[in-house]
Amino acid sequence: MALLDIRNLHVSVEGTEILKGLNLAVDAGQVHAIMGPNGSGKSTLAQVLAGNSDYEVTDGTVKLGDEDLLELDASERAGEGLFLAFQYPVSIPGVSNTYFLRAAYNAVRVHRGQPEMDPVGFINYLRPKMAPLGMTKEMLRRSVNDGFSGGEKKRNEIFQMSVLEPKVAVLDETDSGLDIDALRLVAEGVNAMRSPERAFVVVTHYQRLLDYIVPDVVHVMVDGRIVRSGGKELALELEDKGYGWVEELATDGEAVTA
Amino acid sequence: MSGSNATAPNDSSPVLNAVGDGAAGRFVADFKATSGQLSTNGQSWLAPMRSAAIERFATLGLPTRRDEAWRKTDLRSLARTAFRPAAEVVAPDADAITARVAQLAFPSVATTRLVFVNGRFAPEHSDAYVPTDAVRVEPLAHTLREAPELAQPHLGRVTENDADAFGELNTAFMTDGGFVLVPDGVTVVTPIHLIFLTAPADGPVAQYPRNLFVIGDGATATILESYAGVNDTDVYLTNAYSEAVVGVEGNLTHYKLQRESESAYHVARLQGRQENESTITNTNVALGGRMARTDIDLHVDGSRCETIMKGLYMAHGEQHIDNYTRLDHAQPDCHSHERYKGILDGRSSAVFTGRILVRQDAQQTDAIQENSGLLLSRDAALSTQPQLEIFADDVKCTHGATVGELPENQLFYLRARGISTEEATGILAYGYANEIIEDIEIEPLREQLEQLIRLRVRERFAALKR
Ligand SMILES: Nc1ncnc2c1ncn2[C@@H]1O[C@H](COP(=O)(O)OP(=O)(O)OP(=O)(O)O)[C@@H](O)[C@H]1O
Ligand SMILES: [Mg+2]
Repeated sequence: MALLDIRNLHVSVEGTEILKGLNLAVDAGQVHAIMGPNGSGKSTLAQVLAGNSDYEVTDGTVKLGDEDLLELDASERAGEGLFLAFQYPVSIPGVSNTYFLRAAYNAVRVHRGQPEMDPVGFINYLRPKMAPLGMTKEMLRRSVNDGFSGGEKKRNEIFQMSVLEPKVAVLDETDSGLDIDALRLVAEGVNAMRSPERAFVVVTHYQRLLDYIVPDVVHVMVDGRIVRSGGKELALELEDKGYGWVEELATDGEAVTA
Repeated sequence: MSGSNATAPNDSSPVLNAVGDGAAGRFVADFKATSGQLSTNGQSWLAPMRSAAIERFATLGLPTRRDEAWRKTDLRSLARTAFRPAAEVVAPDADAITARVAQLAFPSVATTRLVFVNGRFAPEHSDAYVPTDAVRVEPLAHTLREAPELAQPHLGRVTENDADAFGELNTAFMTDGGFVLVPDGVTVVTPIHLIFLTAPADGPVAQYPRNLFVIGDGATATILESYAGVNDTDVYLTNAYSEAVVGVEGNLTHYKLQRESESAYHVARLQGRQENESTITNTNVALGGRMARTDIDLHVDGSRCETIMKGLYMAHGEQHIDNYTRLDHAQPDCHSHERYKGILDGRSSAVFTGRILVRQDAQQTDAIQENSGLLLSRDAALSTQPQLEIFADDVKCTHGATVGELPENQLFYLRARGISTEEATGILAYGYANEIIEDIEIEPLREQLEQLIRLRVRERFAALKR
């Protein structure tokens, strides 16, 4: 049974249908990459999975393990082990990164029936997770993402993921805006977390990320549907030929599996 | 307070006799009846000062919504209430007073504390004051008795300002308050904490605290005024008046923390004057009161001064909080930064007025004003009025106002990390307010405020769940 199982998902925003019958099954232990032209609905999928109520699900089902994900509130989804690394992480002035992380970590623990962790215990828990992602004490003291550079925000997302230890992580263009070194840090952070119990959905525009995080499956999304799926060589093919040839497949209205 | 009575009741004054028996008339009648007991501390000038003030008050009457500065604040329920002078009333529950003082004090840091209960100095709750020739931190009544020459030149004279009904009423009835004198070149490190508690018995009372702060050339001090009640059902009026003068290169950090009973009326004024190259950092926090109005009027009479005015107000239920600030730039090369934030819930309402006057001589003034409000309920209402009057041509003045709800994208970001909507709202409201309080240097004060903010936000959700 797939860990994340999306079937026939239809999603509208302000009356316009964006996802038009999307199917995606990700097994535990796998990494799936989603590529596709701007506006094809990748972030919409990520936001819907995380529980953003701006998006209206008009049809379909999403299961995370045994849970009917669509029945859960956003915070409950995180408690159940879903994590979204935002394409555009949000700044929260006045709230320190440490305070925010501890509130999140404890909320998730409470959801899982574990006791809350005290501030000292939490700092000890954080410490070993900082260096691998280049997080400094100073960044933890500062307000969440406030005044962070684009790359720092993305690293902070992956740092949060390593703190919350989700079952399914959806990374929405986490590689965009990263310099080469940061890209390597982020990829290593993800690879260190790969495990037989965990799954990743990685949204990206660039084949380069997939050299570091080697996917099991690559999907191409066009106009709200997955129009082609294949192995990691599909990413190379896209890099080579662009999206023109798969877009034609989309208009045929038929998903093709290589 | 001791002192002989040098005043004859003003039976001869046509103004006082004409005032009638409305709200203003009640205050005037109280004055006539009690002025015999009001202290003059043996000072022949004090009785005429009080009489002149009550005459001006009688002429002005209580403000109404027809007065431009009171357009959004309804004083009718205050006007309907008959207040006895609090100084006549012995606080009923001594243990409750002791407990409340303990809540308001900061045991973890050294402070010099003076406590006033119902307008009278309460030595049993206060630190011993040792009046010396150097620094003075003592009850104003004591100063007027023992060293009037230190207070008289400043009392009621720190700034030239228009007659104001509540200010006049305070001068007529003032009982006691803090007197702080920091001589030239002296830095007072220990924060000075003035606590004003009101505890009515047998009906509403009115107290009239009066403070005077004289910060010398090159002198530095930190002063905190705390106003509080004992029970949230206590009905009373606090009518406070503070004056502060800061000398050349002087530095005053001033906090006002208003935590009155939620059935009380609070009207307070700070009149300040700055000389060359001086700094005033004022932080005005308002949490209590059924109706709370604070006027802050700072006159920057020196060049190269720095003035910081920060405000945070939180209202819920039926509270109404009105802050009226005025900054008068009269000299060149000064900086000012004003920043007010409010969080409103329930059916509460608030008003912020920020007047900035840049006079013709005040070239190179750099004035920033920001004010914003966060509405946690659809029934809450905030009215903000920036008023910039600029008569100099080479100045930089900016102002901005925003009123709204918590940003959805911030709420979603927190929820997507597992945090419940309720806790996320609390965290965000706290973060919003934090900007005003995060650089408060008295750590336990900052922590106390952080806690009060969190509590307020939590309360709201507890109410929703019920
Ligand atoms: N809140 C919204 N309101 C209106 N339209 C929206 C909203 N969110 C998404 N859309 C529209 O839905 C479509 C899909 O957007 P989405 O952000 O999911 O694309 P994407 O595949 O992530 O693109 P990109 O590669 O540029 O990040 C776009 O046409 C976009 O304009
Ligand atoms: Mg996107």
